[in-house]
Amino acid sequence: MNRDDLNNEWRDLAPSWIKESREGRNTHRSGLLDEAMLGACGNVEGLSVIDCGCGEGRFSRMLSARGASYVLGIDLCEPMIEAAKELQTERDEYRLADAQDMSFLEDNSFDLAVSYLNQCDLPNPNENTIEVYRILKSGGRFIIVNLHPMRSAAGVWLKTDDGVKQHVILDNYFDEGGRHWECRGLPLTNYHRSLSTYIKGFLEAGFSIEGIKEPTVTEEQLALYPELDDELRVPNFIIFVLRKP
Amino acid sequence: MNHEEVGKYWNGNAEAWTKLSRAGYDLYRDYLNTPAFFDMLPEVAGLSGLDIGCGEGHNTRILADRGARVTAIDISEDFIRFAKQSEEKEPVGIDYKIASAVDLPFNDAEFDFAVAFMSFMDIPETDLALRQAHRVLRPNGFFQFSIEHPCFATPHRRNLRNEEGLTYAIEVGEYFRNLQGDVNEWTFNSAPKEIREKLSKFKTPRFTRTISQWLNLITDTGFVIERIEEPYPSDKTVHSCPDMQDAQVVAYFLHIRARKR
Repeated sequence: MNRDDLNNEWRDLAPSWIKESREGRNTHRSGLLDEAMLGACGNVEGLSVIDCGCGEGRFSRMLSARGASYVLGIDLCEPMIEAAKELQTERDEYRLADAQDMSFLEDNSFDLAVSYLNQCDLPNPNENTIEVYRILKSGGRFIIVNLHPMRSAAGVWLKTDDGVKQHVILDNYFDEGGRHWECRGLPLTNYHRSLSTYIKGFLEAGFSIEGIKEPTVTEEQLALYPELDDELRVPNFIIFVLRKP
Repeated sequence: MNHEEVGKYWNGNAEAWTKLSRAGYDLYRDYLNTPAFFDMLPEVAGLSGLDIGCGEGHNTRILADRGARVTAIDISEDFIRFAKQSEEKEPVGIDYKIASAVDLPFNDAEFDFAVAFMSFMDIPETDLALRQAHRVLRPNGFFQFSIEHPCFATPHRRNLRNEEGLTYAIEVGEYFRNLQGDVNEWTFNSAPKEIREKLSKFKTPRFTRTISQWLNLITDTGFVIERIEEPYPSDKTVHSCPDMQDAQVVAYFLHIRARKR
């Protein structure tokens, strides 16, 4: 898969993705990750923020609505950026750009960076990590949510006879690279990398690890989104909170 | 279950463990975990180090061979007795003491580095043990330790094997349930049946923590995470020791190095 192929997958997926996102039907995000990511971001009032792989801009708008002074969302998918621009306010802005090459941005210029399920879509996530380190101010944070390495390797659920998810069957953990799925009936490629590969990338770029979260559903979230019950068994996602010293 | 009760279980394991591991039946240690740990270890020659949960002292002796001045503790008096016997037989200058990882009998900032080989996941008071390791290190000293990989040594865990007995996948579940001392009975399966049968099985209480619990405890203690490795056997290793094959499917072990700031 080259960058164009990956981009084409997202271009084809964009119409249904944007529709679903705007109707609040992206369960993993609305039901589980938004709250965890906002918690990890903390108070964003007055901060300048870069959102790497912003898609149609949903999380950028959430940060802007919570008081960020400036949010720049970048994405390589044109229809997503066009859709994001439609809802743009004076405090957020969107640009067609590659999260692995942000050379149009100055060093030490942002307080906070977020990557909301974007590094698992990138062929070279370390390039994104290095770029984010460069454009963050000293003391700035980088909040990343990613597919959990426990789940991205491979893995099907072992289900009971009546379809309840029990355990995950794992294989090929050390075989890093593309994994091909079907998303809303269309092909979609994600990348699997081991936990240590991700962490080495962060440390080598110069970040310190402040914390890790493995979000799982609360009773309240489960009442709203019963289909997230599998999150109680094995986590699908992991959040890294990094800081540029 | 607290560390003292856990210590009694390990004391009960000491004789069989020492005999079997010294006879070469702890394959994961010998073919994978120990070589990977020492590959990752910084230069220790001339430094003073503490080995926390040293058992019969196999890895402690390797540390001493590398030129470190080594002190080693274990909560099990029998393990320390076996360790001291080999020190008497072949002295390498290791000072062994019976002590618990949650109550180290040392001054603050006494050591340049500390290590723990596959012992920290057996200590229920994870936070206290980390704080003690931190306390006895000098500023900028490091702590390197290995544990069972939290993502794959889950409360529910089963190897799925094909007809030839090779593991093709691992089933995991109940990740968020922290085991608090469920006792496992097992032994080193590579030992011949006639040897295994003469010795009692190991009884090991299990305490599981998620990867985020581990890493957050480390940073909350005041350590800075410096390096993380997930060692796995090469094809060459599996060729010379076929029993290692299952450790290529998922990560069996996690090695962490953190520095006191």
